[in-house]
Amino acid sequence: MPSCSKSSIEIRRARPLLGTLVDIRATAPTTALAERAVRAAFAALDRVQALMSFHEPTSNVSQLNRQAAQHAVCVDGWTHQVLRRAKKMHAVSGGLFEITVAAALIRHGWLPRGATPRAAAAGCTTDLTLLPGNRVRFRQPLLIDLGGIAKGFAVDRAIAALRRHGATAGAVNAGGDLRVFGSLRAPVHVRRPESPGEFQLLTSVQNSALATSAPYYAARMISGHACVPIIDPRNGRPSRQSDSVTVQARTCVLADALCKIVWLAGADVAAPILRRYRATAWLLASNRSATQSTPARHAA
Amino acid sequence: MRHPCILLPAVLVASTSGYAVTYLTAAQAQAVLFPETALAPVARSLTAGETTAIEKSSGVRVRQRELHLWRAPDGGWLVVDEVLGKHEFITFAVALTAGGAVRQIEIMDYRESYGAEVRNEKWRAQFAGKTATAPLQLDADIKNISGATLSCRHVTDGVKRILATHALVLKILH
Repeated sequence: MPSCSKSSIEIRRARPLLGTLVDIRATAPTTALAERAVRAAFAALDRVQALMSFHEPTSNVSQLNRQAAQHAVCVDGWTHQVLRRAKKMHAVSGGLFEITVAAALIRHGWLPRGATPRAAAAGCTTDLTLLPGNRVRFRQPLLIDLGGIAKGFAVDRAIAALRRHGATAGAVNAGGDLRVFGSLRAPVHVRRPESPGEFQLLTSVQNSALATSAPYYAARMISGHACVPIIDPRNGRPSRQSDSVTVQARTCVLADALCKIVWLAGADVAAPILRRYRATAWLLASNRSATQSTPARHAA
Repeated sequence: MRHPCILLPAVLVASTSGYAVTYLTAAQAQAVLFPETALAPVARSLTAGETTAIEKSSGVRVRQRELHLWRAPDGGWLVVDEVLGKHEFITFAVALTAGGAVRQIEIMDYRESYGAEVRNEKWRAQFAGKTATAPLQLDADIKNISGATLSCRHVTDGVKRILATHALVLKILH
């Protein structure tokens, strides 16, 4: 609903994209400008989906999975950028951040088998080589899924589009990946992992990004355990962690990648990596009684 | 620098049981999806035979036989539909080209609820026949949620149902 202040209008829109409902808010001097900025932001999200979706046979990700083990494949500059970020996060996390997880996600039913080739299970993100001219080569057959990191990148690009088209403040929320800019100081709530219909006020952010990984909605039972579609590269199996992890960072792509690292490594191991990126993590334990007996490690 | 990890105590929980956003009213959805176009409302209800055919073709249940339809001068359509999941109720608008392709989808209303209300048939019944003109405010204070919204699978199903409705009914409407 449009709302007016003295000299600016805020509009809010949502569309189904990137496998979730993407919610965009934009403030601009006029409704027409705000509408134009929101349209540009959705166009950026559409473009990321077309380039990086595992499901789209014509996406860069599908092309790479089919061909990059045979020859170098030329990709869009945006895809190259995300892959560079993925390799960096893989390196700084000692291999915990991993994008060659599609085979495991297919095996457990989170991704469709489709027409994807079978890949050797031995490879990892290090076997993906970035070449000049936005080209990419796999040193051995790999199946990559950019999942959350692409969604985080999409949110960053949508924010850039809002700014470029004259929005003075705004927010983009793509199911777990959230970024706000401008004068908007936004209180942020998270769902309680044990009861996702209940919200907890987490923090309030301005010109910042947040990503949350949590078991609700995504978990499924595998061999009697609730598992989430985050593959632990140490054993190749879906994670059974049941807490909710939120990371705040400068950009959403960074927040999303760091969130996966905290999820898998735990807060203590991930602390130096968080410090390096000036990021903060929040953990919400799924067992409420256990959480109550645990004192806050640090007040917010 | 402070420790970068914060374990939140559960005592901070502010318990709420719902979340709702109104994005567009029916009139706003028309203006956003068909700017500067005069749309003509079309009154049409599905027959029992059409309902069965749409369900068979789309694999999605038809909850309401009454269609919320507007026609554009170029033969395009605006369809307002709603989907009801276990916890969520979503009203959305789809712009179709004259050929029946999806041009744009906009969410009009998103509401979710847990616990007593959603189990209660009355909670569900209040949405029968609604087209986002009377939004129900469950919790207006919660604007930014970090953490998943419910999946958009139901909206995807709803769009499938609309495409089947176009192919079987709208395409041959005069």
